[in-house]
Amino acid sequence: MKRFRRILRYIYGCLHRHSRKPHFYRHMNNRHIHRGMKGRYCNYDHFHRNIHVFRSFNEDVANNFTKLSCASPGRYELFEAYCDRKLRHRLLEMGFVPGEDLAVIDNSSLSGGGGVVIKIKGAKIALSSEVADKILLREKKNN
Amino acid sequence: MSIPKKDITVVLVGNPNIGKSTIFNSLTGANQSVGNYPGVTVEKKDGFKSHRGYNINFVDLPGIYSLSAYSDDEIVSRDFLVNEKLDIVINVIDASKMERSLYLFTQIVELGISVMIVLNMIDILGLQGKVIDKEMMSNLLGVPVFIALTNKDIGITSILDYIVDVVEEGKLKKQITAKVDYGENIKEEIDKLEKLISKDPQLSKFPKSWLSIKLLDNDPLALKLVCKTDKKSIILSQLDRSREHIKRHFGNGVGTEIADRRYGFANSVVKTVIKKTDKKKIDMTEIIDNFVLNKYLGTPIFVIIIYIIFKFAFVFSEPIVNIFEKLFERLSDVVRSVILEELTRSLVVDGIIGGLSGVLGFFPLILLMFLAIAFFEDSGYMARAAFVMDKIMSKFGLHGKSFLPLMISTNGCAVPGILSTRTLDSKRDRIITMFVVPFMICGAKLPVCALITGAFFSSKNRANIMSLIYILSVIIAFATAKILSKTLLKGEPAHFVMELPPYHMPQIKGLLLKMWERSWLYLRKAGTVVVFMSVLVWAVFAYPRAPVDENLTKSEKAAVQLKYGLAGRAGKILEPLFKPIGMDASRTIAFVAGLAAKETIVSTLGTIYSIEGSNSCNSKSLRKKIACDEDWSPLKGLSFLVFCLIYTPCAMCVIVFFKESGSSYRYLALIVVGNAVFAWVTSFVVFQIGTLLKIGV
Repeated sequence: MKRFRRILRYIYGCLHRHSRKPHFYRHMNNRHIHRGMKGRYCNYDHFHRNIHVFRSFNEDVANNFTKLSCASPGRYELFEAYCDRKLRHRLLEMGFVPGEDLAVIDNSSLSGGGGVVIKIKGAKIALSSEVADKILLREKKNN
Repeated sequence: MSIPKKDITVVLVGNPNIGKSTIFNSLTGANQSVGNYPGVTVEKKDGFKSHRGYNINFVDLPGIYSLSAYSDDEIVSRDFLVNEKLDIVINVIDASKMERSLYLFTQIVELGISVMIVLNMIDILGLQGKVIDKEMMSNLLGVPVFIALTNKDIGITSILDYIVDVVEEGKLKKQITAKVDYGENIKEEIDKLEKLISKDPQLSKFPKSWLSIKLLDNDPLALKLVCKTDKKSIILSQLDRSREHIKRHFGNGVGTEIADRRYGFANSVVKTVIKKTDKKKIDMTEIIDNFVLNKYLGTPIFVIIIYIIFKFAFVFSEPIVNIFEKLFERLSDVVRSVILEELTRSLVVDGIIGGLSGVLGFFPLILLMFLAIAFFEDSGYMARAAFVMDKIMSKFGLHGKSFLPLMISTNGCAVPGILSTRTLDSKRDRIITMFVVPFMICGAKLPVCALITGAFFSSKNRANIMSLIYILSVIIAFATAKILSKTLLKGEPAHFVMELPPYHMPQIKGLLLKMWERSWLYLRKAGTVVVFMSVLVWAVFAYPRAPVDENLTKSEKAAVQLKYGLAGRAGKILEPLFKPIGMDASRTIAFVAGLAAKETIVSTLGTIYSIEGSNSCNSKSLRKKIACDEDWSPLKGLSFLVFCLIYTPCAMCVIVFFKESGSSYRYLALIVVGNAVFAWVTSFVVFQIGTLLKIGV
């Protein structure tokens, strides 16, 4: 029975590994499962190598920041982009500096697939939902 | 002129999509040449202009956001700026997005080159209800500022005057005062690095402060430079300490901190220079985007626009195509009456004129197709289309931008299609896109489709069948992309981050230039490969001459020659290979000829059927001859068509593919052999299933 449960877990883990990218490990309980499996069935190297990134990412999500992919149209302030260096550089040079004002114009990833259109530094920029998932926003205070 | 002309090199730099090429076009006129930077597939645009006795050589660098080393465009631009000897840099700045344009400007200034600023998109700034103070900007930055008024000539002449003035006087009139304040902490570290760099003779060739900032920014190319020198261990250890220090001090990475400072500088400039007026006009871009980017309306609008492009190309090219056809008919009649000797006449009429008309017949269609695409590209819609398509494309392992190459190839030509994959950032996306581009129905495959559908389907169904074939080609392309992205080229498509430029009316000159650049690639292929090939095909049929038998009629003689000629023999040898997919010797030969260029498929069939006078059908047109022929059937026609759609692309396309894919023999083998096998298997399945079910036999 124990072995059977393990096999089930293994299948579950593998399915999730394919359907979700590392950034999507939003909930702590998901991570428990994977940690339990470590070194036994699946190789979670990519996951553990970047674990500090996800930890702070998860903390930030918990601290009432919004992911760009979940943001409804409105004014926000850019907090941070959690991504690899190449994309970070690309975002930086397009004006995604932490603390910058950002307006979400249209977000079709809220209702099933699609991308996000935002305005930053006077430029209109379209992002796919994968990229938008890695960008954290802070609600802009009205003052 | 008595004074010898002096050469001046001027470089245009600026962000993408800010009308840089418009300014380039009006600065240079039509005196342009497009080439490649050595080693990389980045387009190099040169233009010349004579002004006040000087030869001004303009170089248009690719549109970039910064001078780092994360893409080929950036590497090429910064290498050009650092290594080449140039007199002045024109930085084109988008007035409506000045902050980001100035971000690039700060990096150019750090290189220590003479810079002048040309402001563009002033009208869009006006729409936002803002005005810019040109004088103040010039004083603040210490850099001459011009406003580009491309519709009037005044702006351009004063820019040219200024360039000549600068070269005559040997230096800029003003001292550049623009300098980014990096703050004490970073400045200290920069100074430390600068000292180390100046000790090294190799590194001190480069602008010191620029190099040290780049090192702090962890720029791969700057690091490579340092690693080549003897002092590398000292510099690298200092670098590590500096980076650690800055990181601890600010809590952010160094890259973010430097970018932040640069933007801070740009922001302060913008705040002093741009003034708000109360009048805010309606922004059409926002209104149009509400519809175009809408979740529900986006895709239908995209489909409608594609339909408009095709319809425009087909409707307007038809009269020109007809004129061309008549012209060629008249020409061959004239040649027939002039040249009396049979063999030469056959060479000129069947070989050269036949081949040329096959190519030029479709040239107007391709020209208009490219014009329509260029219009939507320059107006700013194509960026939106890429965004709308990205959701679907990414499911097949393609990038949103991949759709433009596919679009150019459909009814156009795969060669400019492959070249336009250069806009894709990741190598993997590029190669997948290049693989699937030749599957589209290009201008050369179109006659094949028209021939087969015309021969076997009633005129009522013809249009529907044609659309089905188009859909089939798209399905084949997307399925191949999916397979490739799952097997050979694993991975995710590059991240989709794309700027959506504001809509504007394209400049006619720019449209025509763009159209011509792409069609020229097609025409060049037509002028060389296709004509040569059609002569070759003719020769292969005509030689060796069959022994003359006086008893036979003229048509019987022709039939004997067809079998006796080299092509006939080769067809006989290859026939068993193509028998399972329902092909006979003549079609086999057409396929072989099609390897050189797809245009020759129809012309080869035409040659065969024109020699084959024994055909029971006495009609003139090839379409009717095929319809009468007992050896053809609708199923065989379909199998023929499927094979044509998939098998090895034309020689020109393969060559361009080889060059653009980084001269990889693996991919070359895959596209040449793989496609042929893939085509054979697909046709085999179609033909055998059809035969079993007795459909269209």
